[in-house]
Amino acid sequence: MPQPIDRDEVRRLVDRGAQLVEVLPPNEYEEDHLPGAISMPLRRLEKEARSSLDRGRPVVVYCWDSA
Amino acid sequence: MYDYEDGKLDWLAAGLPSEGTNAERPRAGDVARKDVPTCRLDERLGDVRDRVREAGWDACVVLNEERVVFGLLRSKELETNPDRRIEEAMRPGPSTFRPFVSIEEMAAFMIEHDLDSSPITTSDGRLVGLLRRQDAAKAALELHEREHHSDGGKA
Amino acid sequence: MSEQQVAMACAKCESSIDRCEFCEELGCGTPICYQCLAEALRQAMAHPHQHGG
Repeated sequence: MPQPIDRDEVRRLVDRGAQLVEVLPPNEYEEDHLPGAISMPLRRLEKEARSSLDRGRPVVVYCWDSA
Repeated sequence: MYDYEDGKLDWLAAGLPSEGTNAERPRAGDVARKDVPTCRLDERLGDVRDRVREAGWDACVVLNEERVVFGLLRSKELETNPDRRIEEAMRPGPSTFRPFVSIEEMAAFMIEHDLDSSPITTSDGRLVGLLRRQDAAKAALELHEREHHSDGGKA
Repeated sequence: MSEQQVAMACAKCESSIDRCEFCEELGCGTPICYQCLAEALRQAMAHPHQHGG
């Protein structure tokens, strides 16, 4: 179960090398995403996470909002 | 694994930088004037008015020590009794808008509602700048010309 | 002379409002309520996420 974090913690983790993953559809990612984030839509997350992400670094996932 | 629960909306509302095609289009936070005069609640209106005029402005944003917006002084408020405190003279709790709002939308609304200026703030109420109608309209027009002229707007 | 609040209706959804949420004026010709304004400005971002997080 992912650990919920806030904006300040995101910045701290990214400064220390965390990988940012946006799980929104690709067209939304293309319009706006957090600096350095990669796109991994939710339905592909499980399949691609193992091959695309570095297991040695923390991963921060995000969506549009908490709704 | 971590979950940034408040998400992209929270990030953008905080005025933090982003990447992508929208990031290249001007937004309210980009066009807002960062050099707008500011003042505190306990200042004397006359002193603030002199400072605002000297800076060539006709508006002033009222902030606390943490740059949270408490009120706004436009021409009408600045011209009242100079011995009043800012807290009495200002328009408290003005409508504010987030930095990520598109400049086209802001320009359209400001023209339709005849609004001279509006504070742009982060989601925690801190001032980013003051968006003036003329600046919003100019930026929206330039964007429109850039995006809708096949020659890229070059002379 | 005392101020009288005139009932206004949002130009988009017709809900009753005290003032225009964009310009804060009581006599605004095209008043808009908070929800319609928030929706209009959020839509201006294009493709706000639909499936709820």
